Amino acid sequence: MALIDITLNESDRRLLMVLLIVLILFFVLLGLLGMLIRWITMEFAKRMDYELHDVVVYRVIQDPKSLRKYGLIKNNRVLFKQAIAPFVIAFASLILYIVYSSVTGLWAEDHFTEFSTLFFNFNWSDPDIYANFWGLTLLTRWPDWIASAGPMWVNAYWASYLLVPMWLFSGVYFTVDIQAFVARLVMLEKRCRTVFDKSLDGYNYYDTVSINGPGQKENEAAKQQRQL
Amino acid sequence: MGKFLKNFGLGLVYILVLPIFLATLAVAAVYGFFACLVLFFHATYRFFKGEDPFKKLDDDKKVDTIKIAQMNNEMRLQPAAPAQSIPAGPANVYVQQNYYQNNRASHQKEANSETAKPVEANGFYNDIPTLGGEPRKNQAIDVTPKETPSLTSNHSRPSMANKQPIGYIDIPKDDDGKDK
Repeated sequence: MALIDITLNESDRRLLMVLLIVLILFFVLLGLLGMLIRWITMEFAKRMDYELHDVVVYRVIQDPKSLRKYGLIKNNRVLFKQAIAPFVIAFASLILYIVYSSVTGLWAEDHFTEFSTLFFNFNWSDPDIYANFWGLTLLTRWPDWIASAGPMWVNAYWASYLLVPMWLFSGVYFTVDIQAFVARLVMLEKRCRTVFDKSLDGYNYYDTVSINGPGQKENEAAKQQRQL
Repeated sequence: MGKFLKNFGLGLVYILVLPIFLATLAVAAVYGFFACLVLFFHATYRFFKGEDPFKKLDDDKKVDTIKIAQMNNEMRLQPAAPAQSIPAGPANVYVQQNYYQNNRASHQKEANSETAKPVEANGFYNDIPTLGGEPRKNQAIDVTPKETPSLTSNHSRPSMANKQPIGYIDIPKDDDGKDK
């Protein structure tokens, strides 16, 4: 007698197959997304090599501590130069927001909702599209489209149509810059560890003792001992 | 395929540590924001003082000094370098001069044996025949560039003493000094 008796009809089997395929696709997509993030991070990190190259190759810096200090200063300056564009956009949007709000008197206006009129809007608040499954609230079907909410152009929302893209663009731009900053920081730490690395892997003291030179007797003795 | 699978696995690891990565980004964003503000005010202050917005680091100055010294050194040595690669340079053109007009036939053999002695690759004539006198020894026509002392590198002029002659240019010359 089986511990749990599971009986599946044809419909359940098809549903399981579909779920399995969806899970595999999701898994593959996650892996590809991770690959993309890793590749972008590695590309950003190459900039630190560019910054450190000359002082290391010309042997101006000769210890990890100085290299780390130099790299941090350079990294901050590169971040500043890269962040100028998003900061200028964000500052311009701030000026526009202050001017618009002070003229209209609408300081608490929901600009994101106004901006969403440019896109398709769905009724996510409909309770019929959700189901409770083992304590989890899951989506059972795609919500209905609210035709009255868009997509459409409303002239009164012109400020939102300008402000929200500026906020989004500057935010994403600065996030990418920060990702590059972190990637360069990781690369700097890696270089500080590897550039001045002294390794004794595969080195043996007696292999480098010259013939008839100092340490020759010990060399011979060590060789004999190794042969024994 | 193996490399792709390895990258794919690392990609999945990146997804797994994504929350930590995002938290790091958030902390770095706060730091970066304030760092940018400080750098902005600092650069603005320096700009209005009439200086560069960012002070050149001492290590960068040292690198620039080394680069300039290397460039100067290479420019001084540049004429010597093509002499080895270009076969017909002025340092290894061998001038054969015939100073015998009337009895050319009788002296042809001698001329060939005597005057065909080339200029050595270092720019010195070797046993040049003269009219009615002893051959001059080692008359210097120094065509090689002089090396000047360098600050940083110890490049030495490439040795040309053992260069073999590549060819001869026959320039017949009469007694009156006019070419035929």
